[in-house]
Amino acid sequence: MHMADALLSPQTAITMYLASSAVAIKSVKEVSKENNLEKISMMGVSAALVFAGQMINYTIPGTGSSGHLCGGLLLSAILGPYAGFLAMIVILAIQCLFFADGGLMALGANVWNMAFYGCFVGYFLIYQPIMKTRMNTRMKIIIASVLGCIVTLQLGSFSVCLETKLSGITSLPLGSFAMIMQPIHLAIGFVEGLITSAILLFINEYRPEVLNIGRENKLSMNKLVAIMAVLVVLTGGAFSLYASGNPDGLEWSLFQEKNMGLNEDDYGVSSSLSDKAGAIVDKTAFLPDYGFADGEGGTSLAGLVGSAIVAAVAALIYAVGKLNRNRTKGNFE
Amino acid sequence: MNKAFLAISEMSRIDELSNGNSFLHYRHPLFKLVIVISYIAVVMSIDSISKLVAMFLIPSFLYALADIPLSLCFHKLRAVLPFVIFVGVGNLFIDRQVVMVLFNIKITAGFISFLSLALKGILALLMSFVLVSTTSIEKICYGLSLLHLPSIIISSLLMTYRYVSLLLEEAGNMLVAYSLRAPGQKGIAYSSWGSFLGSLLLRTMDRAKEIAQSMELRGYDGNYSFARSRKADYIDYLFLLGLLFVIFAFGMINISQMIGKIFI
Repeated sequence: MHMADALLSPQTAITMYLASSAVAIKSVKEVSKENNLEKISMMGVSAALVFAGQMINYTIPGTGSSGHLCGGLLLSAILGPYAGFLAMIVILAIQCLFFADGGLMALGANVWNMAFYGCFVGYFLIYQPIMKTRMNTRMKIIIASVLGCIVTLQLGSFSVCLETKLSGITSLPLGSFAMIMQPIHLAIGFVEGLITSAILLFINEYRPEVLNIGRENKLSMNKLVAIMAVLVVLTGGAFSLYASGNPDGLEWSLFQEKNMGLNEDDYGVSSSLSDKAGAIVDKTAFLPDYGFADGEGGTSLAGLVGSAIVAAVAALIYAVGKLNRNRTKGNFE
Repeated sequence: MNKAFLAISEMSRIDELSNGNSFLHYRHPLFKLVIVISYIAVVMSIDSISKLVAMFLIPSFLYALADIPLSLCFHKLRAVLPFVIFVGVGNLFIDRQVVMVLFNIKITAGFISFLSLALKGILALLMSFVLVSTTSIEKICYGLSLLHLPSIIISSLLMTYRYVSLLLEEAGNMLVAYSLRAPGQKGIAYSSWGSFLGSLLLRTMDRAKEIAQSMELRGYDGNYSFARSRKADYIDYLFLLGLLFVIFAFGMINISQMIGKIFI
């Protein structure tokens, strides 16, 4: 579910970065409040452990296939939701930088899709309420883990579909895209829930004090409002891509024929200064009228020939640099 | 070799590369971060294939400058391309409007958007790889600290990086021990799911407590401090401004088309 940079537009990527940063700032404040150095080393080492755990294949009995651990719910069950979220950010950052699993610009989106849903939505809305019930502890852990992982992975994969669609990357309708993604992630979420519950059951048997059972992480109304505000910013930013092309109030009053009926390209008082300023804007506007000046898609023959020449030059630059370096290396390879 | 050991060897190879001594290795880490992020942002916003091809000139130049093996970078494409292709292949089938005919082959708008997606994925990967193979994790974190990223995240990032190879090795050894006792079995059986990672988790927690105590005894108070600060010199500023100018220029002007018009 790690998104590459190519799957997002800059606007969507920035919106997701803002949303994830807001949650990260809140998490940092909560963890700093505890002032517990052991917590910080726990975060680092648990993140490393989940990283190692993701390399392990868990064979699903009877199917011949295997599942993998994602770790959001597991980390928040052990460390608490805020520390768990920060640990997930670290895991995703290392995967992005060293394993190209997820892009650098898409890191904000990946943090939201995988860490936010797992550590907050899954923890506060599913895991914690179930763990507070009076059911048998083993049943509680299994149900909370499985349900939590299924719901968070469904939310995460739907977010991937939404973000890709809003970025205008795919011509697939949102419904069709979701119809492919959701069932796959339902199965993945179920298996991850089973793996998480197996690990938590083991810990509950040998070291029950480690789990956050009984330790309450309160979600106050203020915090809920703050999270809703973040969601509003995200929705507003992302849905702006589907904003209406109809004129806004001022444009409607100025340019509609039944109103003032001005010519949109030539109105107002003209002067040499305004002409010069307009020329500068035309030349420098990177996104004139919120689109690109060169809208032809680069399919002209000149573009093709030029691209071929540039590609050859790029390869030549690399090859010359490599040859030069090999020649000067000598015997010290 | 299981996945855990393969991951260790990948990380140590990149670690080795990042301790090189090319011109690029000595540039200020924050400036390199800004250049890479600007490049990826510009690539993400480009719609034209010819402009995307022109953007290859920049990583090509940087790879030659820093002597980074392209093969190691392309090995990472296996992580990036599958999902990009999965998303892009839908465009191939849905958008069948023919935009041009080249050597009697009809090229559809769907193919153009698919190719554009694949090129963006490759370009973003190439530049991210430049960053990690010319900048060690400590320097990356130093750059992030200058951006006032919270000390908790930086400490966790450095600690995780330091302990990832240790825990990967432990997990790798446990996998080997398990497979020797369960020949022919692929992966961990259901009955061992809990105990396999659970026991590693409990040992990890004890280790974390010892680490915390050792750090506290050595004066750690929650704020990570870097031994040496790196002041940017005029070469760093020239490098930053020059590359940013080229990146944005290539994003705005269709260099490929300009060159093509010379010949046609």
